[in-house]
Amino acid sequence: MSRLTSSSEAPPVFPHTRWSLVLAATGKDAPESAAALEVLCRAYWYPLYAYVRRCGQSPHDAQDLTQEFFRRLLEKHWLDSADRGKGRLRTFLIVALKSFMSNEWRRACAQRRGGGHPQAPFDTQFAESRYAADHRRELAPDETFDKQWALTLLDLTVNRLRAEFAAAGKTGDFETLKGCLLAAHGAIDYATVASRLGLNEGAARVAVHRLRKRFRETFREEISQTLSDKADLDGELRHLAAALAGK
Amino acid sequence: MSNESAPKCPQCGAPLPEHAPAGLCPACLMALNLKTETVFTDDTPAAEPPLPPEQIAPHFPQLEILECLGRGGMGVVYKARQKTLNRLVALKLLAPERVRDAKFAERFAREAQALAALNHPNIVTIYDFGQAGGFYYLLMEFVDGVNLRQLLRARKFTPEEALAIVPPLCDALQFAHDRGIIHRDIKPENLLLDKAGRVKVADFGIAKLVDAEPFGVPPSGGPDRLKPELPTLTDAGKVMGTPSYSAPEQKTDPQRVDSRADIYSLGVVFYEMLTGELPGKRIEPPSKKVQIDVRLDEVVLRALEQKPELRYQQASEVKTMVETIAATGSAASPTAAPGLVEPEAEKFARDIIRAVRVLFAPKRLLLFAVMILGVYLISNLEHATAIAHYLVLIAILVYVILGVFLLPRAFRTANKTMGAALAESGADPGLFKPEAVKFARDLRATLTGKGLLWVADQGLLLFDFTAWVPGYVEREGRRRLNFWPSLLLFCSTIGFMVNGGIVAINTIRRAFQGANPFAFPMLEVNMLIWAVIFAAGRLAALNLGSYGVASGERSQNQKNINRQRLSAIFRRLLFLLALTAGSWLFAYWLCSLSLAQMADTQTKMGATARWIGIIIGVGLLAAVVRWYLRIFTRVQREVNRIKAASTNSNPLPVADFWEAMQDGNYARAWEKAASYFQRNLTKDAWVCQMEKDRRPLGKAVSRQFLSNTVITPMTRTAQEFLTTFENGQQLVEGAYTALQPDNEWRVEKYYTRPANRDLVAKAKAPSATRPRL
Repeated sequence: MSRLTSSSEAPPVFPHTRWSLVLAATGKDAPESAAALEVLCRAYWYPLYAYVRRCGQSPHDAQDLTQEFFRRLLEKHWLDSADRGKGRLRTFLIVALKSFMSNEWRRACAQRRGGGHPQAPFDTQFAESRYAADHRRELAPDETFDKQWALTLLDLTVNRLRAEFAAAGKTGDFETLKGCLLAAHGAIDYATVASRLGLNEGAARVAVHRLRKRFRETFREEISQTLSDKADLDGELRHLAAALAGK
Repeated sequence: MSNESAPKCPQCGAPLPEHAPAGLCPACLMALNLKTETVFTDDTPAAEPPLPPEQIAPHFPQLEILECLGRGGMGVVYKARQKTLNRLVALKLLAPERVRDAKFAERFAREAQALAALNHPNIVTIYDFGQAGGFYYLLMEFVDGVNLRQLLRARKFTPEEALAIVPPLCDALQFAHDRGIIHRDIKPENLLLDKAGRVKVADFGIAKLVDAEPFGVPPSGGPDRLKPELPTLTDAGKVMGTPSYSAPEQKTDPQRVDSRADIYSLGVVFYEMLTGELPGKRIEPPSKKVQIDVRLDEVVLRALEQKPELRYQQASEVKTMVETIAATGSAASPTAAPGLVEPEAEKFARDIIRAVRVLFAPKRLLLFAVMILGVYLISNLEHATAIAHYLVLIAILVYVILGVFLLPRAFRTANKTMGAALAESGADPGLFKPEAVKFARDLRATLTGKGLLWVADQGLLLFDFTAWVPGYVEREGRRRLNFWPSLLLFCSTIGFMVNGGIVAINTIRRAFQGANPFAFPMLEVNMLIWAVIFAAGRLAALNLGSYGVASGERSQNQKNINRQRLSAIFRRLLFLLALTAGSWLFAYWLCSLSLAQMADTQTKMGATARWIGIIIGVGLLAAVVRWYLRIFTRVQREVNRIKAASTNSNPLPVADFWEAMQDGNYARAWEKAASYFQRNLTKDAWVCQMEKDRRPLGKAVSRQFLSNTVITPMTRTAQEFLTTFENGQQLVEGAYTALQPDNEWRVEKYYTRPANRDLVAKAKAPSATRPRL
């Protein structure tokens, strides 16, 4: 069992993605890993909620279920049994949720008759409205989960990019460049873009190119935060692309 | 939710979801991440949009420009027709912004000349090149088909298909290498497949021309490969090629790149075709991800070696290896888990250790200890003989019951379901006629060439004492201990070795003594019979034990697969028959022996030995019992698999459910549903609910099939029907059907939803698509 050391002696494999941090600290109360887990949970609760709803639970039940699941997860009940070989957060969460749903949820249901629910780490109202707006009944629950996972990742990436621009004080630039992110090479009117940004045309091209590159990098980083082994990155990327295409 | 006012993505036209990230289309965002663009690290000026065909046409009076096919890193490709020759061609125009870049124009000219020197059926032919209207152009063969990337996206390749694509590719590469041309950018986008299934390599756009040695030695052979004096268009520090597919030396040492870099790229493409993924930093052998011949592992891994010296040196080597593997197929050897070639002795030792470990795992060890303890206790008791009587009588009784009832039933049911499945799947039902005629015909087939080969193969298997049943079996993603086959194998092998050995030794001894070696005394005749029985048991154990392991019998024709599978099943049933007969004989002999001689035995040793014999006999019986059951379910499962694989349509038993629903007989429908369904909803509740819902609608007048979606192959499907009711209303009825443990398909969930206009229209359209295999 690898212990999470602080500074002086660097352990042979220093985990620096959030998920590998969490995995590495099992059995020992390390504040970094708890914080990392909390961050991961806050980011990815919606795909789980969508999965539970898609499985046929009513909104109320789904909220309870997801809430309870996270409460248990944050108490680290399951990380001891996490299979280190499979270092993907996504698969771990969905498997844990499925086993939770089939085993413990029923028992928890029987016990949980009494008020005082702990504070949900997510906004349940918003969850339901988004689910109602978004979901497609043709998708199986697993596919819904994967698709929402991919969408969540995209969301996170875009928000991070926006935050980066905001930190540099260039919020308006982001809005302008955002539109160019996806457009084909020939379709961008660089003249208008340049004038809006206050740069010349060549610099505008470079800015667009840089934003694209940064998007790709950030996306990959976000994915790698959910992996314990960076070698899985390409496989995970392809899987998410397929999930989003709704195969 | 109506979509008339939903905003659409300007790039792909798909409707934008409400919570799209920053208002951008998620599909396009994702696509942005996946582009495998060829990387030129020199500053790529932003490209101008490709000119429409009308603007190009005046410059090419001899061509009729039809449409723009696409744009690559270097230029735009148009589909055109040569007016004089009336053939379709591809016109590649150098991107206009490149025209000012002198280096690029030179490269373009080189590409044309290089390709013109390559005239090969698997390389895209160059017809002409030149300059027109300020453009540099290349006139190439038009390949009417798709590129490999499109195929990879659409579906995964079977190993056979991958094996079929690689040899022509190797041919093309070898041809080019022999003429001193390296492609340097082999990737699925550059590999085209035309409608005839021919592979063509295209886009030698960044081919580097390496001049041949002065004395005519082609540069792909010989130790001294490079001519650094040639003006190379890769200045130091610039990387060519698509990152994931380019060889390591293309990034670290571009000057030393030679034909072996192409072999690396070929390896990556091969890997991707087999597994559907790119090799990661640590390359996992494809046979771990997909069920393929392990020899392919070696080919792929060697092509992917980081050091060029360790790879295959010639593309033709790769071709030979691949063709050899494809031709010989994978020998379905029943030895345990496929692995690298290791010395026989080590393999033998490993198997023995594994078998010992399996048989003497703690739980089993306890069981054995209890058995042996029991033997000692019982043999010390006064009533030993009586207990022996009863035990053996019970054994015989059980055998008789099983033999009389189970075996014929197994055959009969197998006949019925297989015949039905075959008829349904369109395969030749005469393939499995349950008459004696068919038996005889099969026997005759056994005695002909193919049959003899099989018999010889079994013979070898019999004496191959390194063959063991795998200790663990991977089924439905879980590893289960393979106890009973292992036990049967253990017992049978011992019995075979002991009996056969004694007979063999005595025969030899008699031969040395000058007597007739084949004058077997009665005891030895018995032993010979037992040896045969035990041999059958051993072979059955090995054959059945390996049933779940990789079978190399795959062919293009689905019917062939069915036929082979069915004959394999048939063979196994035949073995079971032999095993049963043998077991009866053995039990009978044991019974007579024990009754006659048990009382005579003076020594404790003798008694114990007899007892161990009885225990083994009982163990054999237990194994046989278990095996009847397992054979039974395996046959069922195999049949279901054949059914599911060939028809991919509504499995029969579920039709009962729908029929009952149609009749309004909800109670019967409930009975036909899965136990999961029944657990969640009592019959009364279901019937009540349905009647309440259906009362205003009236009876179901017509039902149209809408869709059958496979959720998990051969385990779960979802079906939907559009049902019209008496009062004119229409509903979509859907059901999730799943394969139950008793191997029947049953409905696990039923739902309805309102029918909207799209669905109604879709239902009206002729659904003539044959299910794809």
